[in-house]
Amino acid sequence: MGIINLFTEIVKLFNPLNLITVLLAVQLGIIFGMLPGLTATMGIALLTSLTFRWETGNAIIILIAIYVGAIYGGSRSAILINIPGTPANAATCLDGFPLAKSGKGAQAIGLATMSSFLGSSIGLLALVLFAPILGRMALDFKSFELFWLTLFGVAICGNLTAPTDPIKGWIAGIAGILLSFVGMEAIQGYPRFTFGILELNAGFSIIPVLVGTYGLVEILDNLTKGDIKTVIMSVGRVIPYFKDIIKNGVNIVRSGVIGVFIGIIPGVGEIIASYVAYDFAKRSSKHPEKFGKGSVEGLIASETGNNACVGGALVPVLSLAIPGSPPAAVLLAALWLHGLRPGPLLQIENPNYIFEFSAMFFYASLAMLIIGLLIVKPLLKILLIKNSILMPTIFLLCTIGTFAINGRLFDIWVMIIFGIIGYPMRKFGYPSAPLVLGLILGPMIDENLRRGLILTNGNFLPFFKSTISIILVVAVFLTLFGKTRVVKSAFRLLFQPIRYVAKLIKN
Amino acid sequence: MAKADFICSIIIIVFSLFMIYNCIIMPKYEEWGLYATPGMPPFIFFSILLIMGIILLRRSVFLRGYKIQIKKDHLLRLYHSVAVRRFAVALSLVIFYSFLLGKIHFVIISAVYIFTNIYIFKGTIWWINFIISIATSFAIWLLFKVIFLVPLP
Repeated sequence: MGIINLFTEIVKLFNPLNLITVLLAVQLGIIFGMLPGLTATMGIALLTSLTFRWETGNAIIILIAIYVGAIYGGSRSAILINIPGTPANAATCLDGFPLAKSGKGAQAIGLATMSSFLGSSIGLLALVLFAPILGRMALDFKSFELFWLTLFGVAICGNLTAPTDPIKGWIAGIAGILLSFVGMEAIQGYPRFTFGILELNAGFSIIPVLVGTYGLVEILDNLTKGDIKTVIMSVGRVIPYFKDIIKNGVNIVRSGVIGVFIGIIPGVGEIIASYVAYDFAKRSSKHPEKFGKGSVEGLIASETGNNACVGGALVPVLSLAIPGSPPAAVLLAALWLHGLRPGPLLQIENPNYIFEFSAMFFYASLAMLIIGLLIVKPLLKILLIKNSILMPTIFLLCTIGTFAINGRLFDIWVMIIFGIIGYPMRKFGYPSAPLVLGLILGPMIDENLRRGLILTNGNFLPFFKSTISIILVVAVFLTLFGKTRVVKSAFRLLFQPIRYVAKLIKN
Repeated sequence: MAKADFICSIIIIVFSLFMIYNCIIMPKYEEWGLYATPGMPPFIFFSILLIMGIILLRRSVFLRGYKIQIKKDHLLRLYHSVAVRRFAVALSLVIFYSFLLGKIHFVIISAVYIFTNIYIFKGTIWWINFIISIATSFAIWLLFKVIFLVPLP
């Protein structure tokens, strides 16, 4: 049924204007992805603000195309200059650049394009199949479950974006939640933490914070580092050989499935998806020794994984209003800005939207394949632009984008302040993704906590009563304390009898 | 990193305590019940932030992060560091540009901003820089203000 709906929407969206829009936007996305320092999140944030006044359908299709294009585009610079265009392509460098160095740069680009397309297709399938199911399940969620779900989202995002020091990820997440409390609150209309600043009554808009923490930080960082001398490897025939794809069929499906499932986990994103897919490919390869030295399997795994993750990350966006990755968080904000209400109610208010959205995703993936294979050499010239020329121009676009949302100079100052805060945050190991996720999910946490307590006359017990709540509470607990010695020993004790029985059976 | 963590934890603890005080003095709205007061959710989350700040402080103290010495030599090295200088210049230009936005025409101030950046960070020779700055700011103005009808500062 879902597939039929998808085809109907694909046919509906088929018109020259949409096709040209998607092709141009994917091209722009590839440029964003290719250029080190410009990320998919920044590209979507920038275009969200610039297309704010456009018709909803056109604006959203552009944003999806930018997302798909940028995640793929980063592979170009990863392969040809050994610098990942976006962090999502860091794993691609490991084998992409050695391949290019051995004179197989074109083959690597072709394979990366094809595997990105196949990864996106697996992601699309997941979006069409899982988003409606998850959305229907989410209709049973009440205030209590929604509270725990959003809290789990922020906690796991903090855990996974700062794997070496999760506490910093959680601090960033909680800071994000607290930032969302600034301004007039929804139940009694009391202005919280405004300190007499009138502009803060409406709270912090998501776009200035996003552009500040992702865009301005990147601009300052690149200008601080200075220009990097770029030497681009030569490129020949890009179209991949069919046998290479067939030979890696299992690898592609496995990496795609990994990408989708990592994408569904809130706030984690493409970086982890590509590394995990790469790791799995290495473990199951007949030639693990070739990984890191120019392995085609490794290249295919990382590119399939990160592009499949895009589709996966959009599943919770549409069904639960919880973003699976930082760029998906911006896309979620964009959907809200355009008057759509992603989440459980989307299927009631706009039953076909998931399929319309998926059709847009399909066109973006197709455009990525076409442009990726046909326009290669002219685009490479862009990699030669110096940071000192490019970054000021990007800053102008950040300024316009931030201003365009509300027409307030105040938002530009918010962007700058968050850029200034974001820079040391990055240097000291505090990830930005949980901060943004917290800012987006904060109002849901606030409203559901207080609404739940009003409904139960201040009784906390219902927060731990339903099966879904209990599962989510356990998930939050394990996310926060799973690595502590006490919990580990408790688990060991819990599984001791099972291990004993298993040993007996074995003997 | 232990020293940075020590400083961060102190900032987090002081900030959390200040904000917890702010939560406590928020109005209570008795008719809704104490649990529905606007200060309740921030109180909970600032308390969690405070606990995390304390954990970070404890960890950094164990790693001797409190041994912060500010010597003249360190300050001199910081002052002469190329990266610090570049960061300071880039940030100053951003602030200067934002301060003048809305006061001077967008094309003029943007062209000056781009020109100064390229000039200071030695992007290219001055006359190419001049052409790039003017052309870029004019093209952006034309594209957004005239074609896309986006309001500009």
